[in-house]
Amino acid sequence: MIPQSRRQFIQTMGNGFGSIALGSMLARDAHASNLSDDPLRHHPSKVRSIVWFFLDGGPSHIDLLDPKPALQKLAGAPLPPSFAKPQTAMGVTANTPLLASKRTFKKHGKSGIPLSDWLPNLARHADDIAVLRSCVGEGLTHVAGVSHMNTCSTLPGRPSLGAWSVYGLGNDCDNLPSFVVLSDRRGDVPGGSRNWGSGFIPATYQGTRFLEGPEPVLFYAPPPQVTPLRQRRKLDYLNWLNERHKNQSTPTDRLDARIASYELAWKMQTSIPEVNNFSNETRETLNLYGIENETTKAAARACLMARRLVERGVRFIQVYLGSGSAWDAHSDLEGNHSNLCKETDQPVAAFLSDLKRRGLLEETLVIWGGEFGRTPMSESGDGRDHNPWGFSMWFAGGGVKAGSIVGSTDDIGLYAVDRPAPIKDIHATILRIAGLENDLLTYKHNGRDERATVTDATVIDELLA
Amino acid sequence: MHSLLGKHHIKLVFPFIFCGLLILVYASAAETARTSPSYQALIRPKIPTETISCPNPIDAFWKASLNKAGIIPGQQANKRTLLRRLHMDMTGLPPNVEEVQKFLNDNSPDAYEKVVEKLLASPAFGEHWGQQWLDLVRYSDSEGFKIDRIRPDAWKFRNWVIQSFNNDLPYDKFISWQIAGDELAPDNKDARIATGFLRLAPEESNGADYTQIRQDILNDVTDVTAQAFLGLTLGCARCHNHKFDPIRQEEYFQFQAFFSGIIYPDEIPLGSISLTPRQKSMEEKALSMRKDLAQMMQEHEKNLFEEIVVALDPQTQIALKTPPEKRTVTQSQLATLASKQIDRRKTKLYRRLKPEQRTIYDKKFENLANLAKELPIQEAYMGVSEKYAKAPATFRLAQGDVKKPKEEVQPGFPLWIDKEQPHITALSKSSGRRTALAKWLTQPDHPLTSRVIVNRVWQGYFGAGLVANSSDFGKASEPYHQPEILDWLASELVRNQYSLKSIHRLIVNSSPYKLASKVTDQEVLKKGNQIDPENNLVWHAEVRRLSAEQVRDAILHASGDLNSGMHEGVVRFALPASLAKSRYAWTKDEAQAAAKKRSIYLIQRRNMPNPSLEAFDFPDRNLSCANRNDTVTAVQALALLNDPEIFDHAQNLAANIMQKAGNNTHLQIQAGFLAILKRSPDSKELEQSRVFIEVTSAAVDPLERLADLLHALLNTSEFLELE
Repeated sequence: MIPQSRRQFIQTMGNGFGSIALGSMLARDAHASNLSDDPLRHHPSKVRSIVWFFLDGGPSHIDLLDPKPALQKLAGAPLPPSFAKPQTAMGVTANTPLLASKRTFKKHGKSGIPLSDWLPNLARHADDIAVLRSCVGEGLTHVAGVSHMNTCSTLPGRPSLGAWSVYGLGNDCDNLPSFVVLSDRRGDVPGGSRNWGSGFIPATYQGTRFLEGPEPVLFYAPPPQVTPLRQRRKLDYLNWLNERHKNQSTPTDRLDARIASYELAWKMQTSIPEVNNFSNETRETLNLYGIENETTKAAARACLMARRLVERGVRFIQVYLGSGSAWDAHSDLEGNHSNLCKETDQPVAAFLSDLKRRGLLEETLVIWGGEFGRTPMSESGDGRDHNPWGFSMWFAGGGVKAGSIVGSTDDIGLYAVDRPAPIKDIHATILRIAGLENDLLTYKHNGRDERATVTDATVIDELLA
Repeated sequence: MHSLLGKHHIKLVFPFIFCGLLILVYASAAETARTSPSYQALIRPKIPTETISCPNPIDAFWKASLNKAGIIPGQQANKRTLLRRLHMDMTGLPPNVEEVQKFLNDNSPDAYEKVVEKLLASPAFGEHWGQQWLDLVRYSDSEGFKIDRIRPDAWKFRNWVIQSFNNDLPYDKFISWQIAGDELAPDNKDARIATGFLRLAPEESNGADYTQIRQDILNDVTDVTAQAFLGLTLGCARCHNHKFDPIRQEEYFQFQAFFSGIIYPDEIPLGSISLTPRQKSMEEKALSMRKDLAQMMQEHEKNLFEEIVVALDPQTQIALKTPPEKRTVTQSQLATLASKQIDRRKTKLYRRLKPEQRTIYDKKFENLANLAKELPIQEAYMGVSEKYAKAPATFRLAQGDVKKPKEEVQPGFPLWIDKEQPHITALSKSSGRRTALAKWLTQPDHPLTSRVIVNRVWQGYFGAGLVANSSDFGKASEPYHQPEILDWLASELVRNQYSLKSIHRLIVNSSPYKLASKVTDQEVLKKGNQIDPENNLVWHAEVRRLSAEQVRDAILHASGDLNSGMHEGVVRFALPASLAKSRYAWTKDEAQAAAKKRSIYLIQRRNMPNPSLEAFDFPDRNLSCANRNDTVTAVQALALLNDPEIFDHAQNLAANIMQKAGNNTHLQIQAGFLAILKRSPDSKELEQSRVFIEVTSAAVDPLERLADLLHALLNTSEFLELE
């Protein structure tokens, strides 16, 4: 097969995690010469990495990013008849009373973005973020919601946005996977690995989960009795056999690719423990993230790891904070969210500060949000149900119009009102910021030119710098 | 006229122009698509006579098309390459050393044909070819979504597929049973198990909106049926008229209407068991004990029901509150789907009992359990049934949205394929709709059914089908290459009473299949690359990577660890330690032997894909996969180099070899190459390998030095690629 374009060429060779030297070198060359001329991109963009903090379980926008004074007044009353009754996941609808937010909101920074007192550390970065207050999802349950937020479909099987991004941007790192998934602790993300899967596009583009413990990447190291020298000698012998076979066979890219793939595997044997080892971080940095504090430890580790991966050129990093639907506060919202905010606010803010002082923030797109928000109606007296009809996310970094608020929900935060942003629009916007055009980034599957957003999507221009 | 279209009119007029254009585009697409070769009734093409020396008609068509294009094919592959290719392609396993020797020494003219017949009769044939079908029907042992419940009887469908290919079950029967086995042959166990096909859609048993879930399942079944059996991307027409093919949106829902009566219970009894008089009385006793236990839970069950039902969509709420005998078909469907959630949560009700009640409950439960031990177990299967002669109405859904039903539609075939509409005869407890669909699909002159399946068989031997997108025979896949071969094979399938093995036999005995991948004649190579660089006309063989299963199975085979033979149930293999804590993890089988079964028997859980197979492009089990990706990645290198299991296989093989060869390095290397690459090393390889074992290897123990050598051989391109 003769590749028609560079993307297709790299696709044939297999980039991403499975990158072979040639494929990734091309992407690196392009990066080194001039980012905006990168032929893989459809638009100029400085963004090298995308980092997505995924607040698993659905954080309450009403108590974090989208203050609703009217809700305070209506608290205790049922949903006013002027609002359409939604079907909620747990069946709380018009009949349960509205629940006031106990948070106080203050305006922060020059931009005056209001943030709740649950986010004191993020408040210092108010001028670095753009809040999108009119997100609209379709998934009512966690598994459908998380799937939709990642793949633009509530049903399983489509490639995730991370896979599309790596497919579009190629690799920028020759010794680590180009799409990495991290989590702070706890349980599995609902639906598991399909949330970072590659669906019908090649497996090369799927996310690699960095696991807890001594083996962050499956099989990255040989069994303990095999010393590095023993492994190297085995590889040398293998290389000799593979080179010889190559010279005797039909020349194909694949045989070169295989030889390169073993060299990459060898490099990962050192690069994985290297990135996993924080001993060369200064005490000041470790404290910034809160790595030695019991409460913030887990999220701090994940956030610091994210920064280390950004530095090493990993393209797409997803960090599940509260993985296993921890933000799912059907009851005791106060207890649930105040704990989770204590755990995550400092590490996330530290990540922004750290990127900024290293000059990396303008080359990184940072996303913060969950699969949905929560209802203004109460559940179990002091909790809130799932709300995919209107909720908030924030964005920061290169290409983002920092210090802005885009879209709005109604007076009580139930439905998106101004500039409703369906998830596919959010994905198209993320791709645009990274220099990719949703309509042009296609992969042929079963006769259809598939794209990340499934159907037409509109870029949210208001979010663009 | 111009003045009428002033600036302020543009906005108003534009949508009309746009719609008009769309209609025009659609009409013209429909017109040209109707003339598309794959939509024409199947007519047996005449075998070209210009090449009289071809005993295999495939050769005649193939040579004629090469002649026409001005291409000379490359040379045939050597016997050794050919034998490995044949074994791998037909059974997924390599030949063993004896088989290689026997074939190389057999100079009789039918040496090759004899091997073909042997492999066609091998039980490994169905274990290899069954996998292609399981990919198409997105077979899985679990239902997906958050809970990802295990489907304990799914494997019966898997084994039925394997056995059907081994027994050469006629393809018309093979697909008819999957679509309507319960209606066509209700007394035949196999036919009923085959309807498991209709149950393989991902299902959110723990959902909230079962009206949506019912629709999602119906959509999935409609799409996969069209893809797998018809090679049509009907799914595109769910939301809008198809862009390339003449499929109108209502035709999508007409096709869906065939399935609208299906009910999806969890476990259906398979066959009946006869009880002895003693067992009968025990059964009655057990029944009253069950009632007694249920009595204790009654209050809690009632509360649970109330708790769950309030969160469900309104239709499902009504369905659940309607007594079973009064439910409409749709209500039965919704109630069956939603009951799975209720039943699952009922199993946790024990926690609500007070401590003193628990003691009583435990005692009663123990008595029942002891009694049940003596009663035979009713075998169950996963399949579908219907309940009523009348199927629920199907509506066209605007944008495919279940909340936007438009006009009602009747079951119907896509109009451009067949203008005749189905003759449906309802049965007493089934709509008969699926029988009508099965009959239509298996008409001898159906333009798609036989073309689509012979193309899939071709794909299995050449890496790509004659129609490259093997689940899309529509406009987007044109032009086809060598359509005469496709048509002739399709008509041959029908003529041979739908024997798939007859098609396999024809293909592997053809000249294009026996070509070498390397073209040595430079003139031939230059010309071929000029005229047909994509090798669409097959003038040389393509090198392919082994599939995920072939890699694992070939390693088990080479190391002598393979435990051949069918497996009942699923193999719960050991997960890597870092995955074992996941909620989707399982406890591995006690029996070590099971872990050495062929890969097709390994558990396939949607939310916990097998990491080793996934590295080698095992597809996502939520989607129908027509042809796997073929990549070379570092994850593959890591899995093969560092997975302790593969390491163990190399160690086992090393131990076996050393038992015979002792410390003789020469003999060890010889035996290692034979076991893994099925050939002797040449002098340079022998020397390099000797130096590795005696000098450069950094392993201390002699056994480990040999094991490292073998492990390296298992990682070579020669082992992983199929020439």
